[in-house]
Amino acid sequence: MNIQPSEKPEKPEETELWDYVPISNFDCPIVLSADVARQKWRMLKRFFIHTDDFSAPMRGEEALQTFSQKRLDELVAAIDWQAAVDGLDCALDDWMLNQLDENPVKIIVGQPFLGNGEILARWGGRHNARLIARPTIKQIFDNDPSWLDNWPESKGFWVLPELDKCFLRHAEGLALVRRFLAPALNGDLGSGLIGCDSWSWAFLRRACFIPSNNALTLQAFDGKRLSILFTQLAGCADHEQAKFLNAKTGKAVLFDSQHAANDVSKDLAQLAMRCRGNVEIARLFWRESLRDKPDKKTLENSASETSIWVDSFMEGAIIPNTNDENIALTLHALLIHNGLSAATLADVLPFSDYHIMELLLRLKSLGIVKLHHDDWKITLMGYLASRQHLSAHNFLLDDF
Amino acid sequence: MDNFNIANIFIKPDFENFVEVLLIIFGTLLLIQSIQKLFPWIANRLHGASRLFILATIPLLRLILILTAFILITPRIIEPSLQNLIPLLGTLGIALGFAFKDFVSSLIAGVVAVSERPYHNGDWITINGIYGEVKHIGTRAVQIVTPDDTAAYIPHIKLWTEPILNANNGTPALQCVANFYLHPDHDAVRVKQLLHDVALTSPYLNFEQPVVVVVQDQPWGTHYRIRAYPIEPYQQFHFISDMTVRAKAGLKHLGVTFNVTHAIPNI
Repeated sequence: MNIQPSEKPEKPEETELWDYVPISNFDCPIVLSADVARQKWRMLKRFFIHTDDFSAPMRGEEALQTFSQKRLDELVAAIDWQAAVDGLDCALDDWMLNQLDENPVKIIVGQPFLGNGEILARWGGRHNARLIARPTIKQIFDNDPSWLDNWPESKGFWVLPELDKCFLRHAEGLALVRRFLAPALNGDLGSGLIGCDSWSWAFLRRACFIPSNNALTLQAFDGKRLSILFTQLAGCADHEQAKFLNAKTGKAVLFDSQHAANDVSKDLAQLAMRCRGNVEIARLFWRESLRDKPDKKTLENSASETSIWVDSFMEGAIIPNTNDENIALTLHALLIHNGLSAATLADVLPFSDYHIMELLLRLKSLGIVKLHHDDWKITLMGYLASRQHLSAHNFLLDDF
Repeated sequence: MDNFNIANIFIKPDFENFVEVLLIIFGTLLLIQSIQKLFPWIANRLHGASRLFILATIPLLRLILILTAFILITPRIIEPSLQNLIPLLGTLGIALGFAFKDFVSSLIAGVVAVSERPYHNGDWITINGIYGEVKHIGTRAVQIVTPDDTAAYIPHIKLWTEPILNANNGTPALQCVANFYLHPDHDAVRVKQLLHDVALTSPYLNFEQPVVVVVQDQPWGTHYRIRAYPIEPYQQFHFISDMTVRAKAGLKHLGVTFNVTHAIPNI
């Protein structure tokens, strides 16, 4: 391991953290058979144990919390999307230079919670593109052509970061997005970038027949990428040399920055699989799994190094095994529209507004949904359970 | 053979054989009951093809269990030689043929129903004008539950004489049709597009199947039909209701007049 400065170490293959790829190249981390077996076992247990009780609380997050929020913020800092903007810039370089006439519009499909809208808005700011605001609900229902007046007349560059907010799953909620997509994809509105959430994309692709050959997405975060990112996030604010060790085995989970690119612990590979490569969900699970050292004596022995213990990754919220299909309909509507207000949910769901509110409150108590400004949204903690629930009920899923 | 006495083919009864036969019958009945309770319980917690598959295995497993029990019991009652079996089955056949003709015919049709599978558990079928979901395929009859939650028991014998209409035929794909009867003076292109979007935006829609809008002019007006598939067969009524309610609102918004015909002509 003693490498002389003159010696050239073998250069490891560099991993692009923020790598935008065509949708067909998205590589969801493979689920190991042991992980599948564990998941099936959990499902089987839930299958036989009656869990219709909606009042059952979610696993208490705070009860397990041994680090203060401040310390957790230091150890797992928030993701700075600027690096993703750089990655997007890199992916679009060739298109900007050579392919604008051929493909005037690129679509960036974002996985949930990955700040797709923000990344596109920042990218637009960097390139002086006109940022197109989403239409109002009234404009969508009225198929209001004045929304198209927002586009630059000179056919300059534009960015529409939230295509998912330009339609409603309603008989009169598709006309406006179709009115926009036809000329936009044809290049009549100039060159531009469209951002869309993956669930909305799955629906719009079928409802408006959008070709996916011009769509890019962020590559999944596998164990290797997570290892590099978590090392970076821990290194942002923490100047002490922290060691991340598995609480059961004592083995290192994160390696120092020199080895992070090469060595990937099994824990992180499993985390990547469980989160389907979604980095923000993985970050939350990672954050929730960190524990302070219980044995202070050993802590004193390790002079400069701080040991951070990584407990088992949590399951996330659980949706009770219920035959109430309205739960699935509500979750699906929220995902397809990337969040909706209770009033607009009543326009797209086939049941009354008071029943919708009752369902939302039940789901809120389980930690599956939350109210963000006026919109109800699926929570980070509830996303995987929601996706699994919808998959079990054969609903249309996103591609990731 | 002239002095054939049917009593001669039976094995001399003894207590041990008697207990064994009882145990086989009891065990078979217990297993059948367990399968008939457990499998639907499991199936009802699943969705789509896996639910239908589990439901469809019930009658097959029951038939296998009955045949196994028959094979195990026969040598404990009679000497299973050809000489013994022919007169016994002949006698039984004549007796049952006269006394329980329809019953036996239904039993045989039940075996055919399991092998040919014109209906499976979980299918939506119409027999003799009765429409419902197949809940249980018995040895003699099929139990279907109508949308009004009424159970109907239809003997398998109907297989020989009646057409069986199966709406989903062992798959989760069940086509639903929503009908609209409109005044002929309207913009048909817009109406067709609206009805297509009504189906596309229904939360019950199965995207893996096509959506088709059929337009047909009739002497009294224009008949529109949306043909589309719900995610699960049991959602068919919710799906049709949803499409009807939202299409009516959309059509009203377009200013289309619905066709009203007199219930009694020439009035």
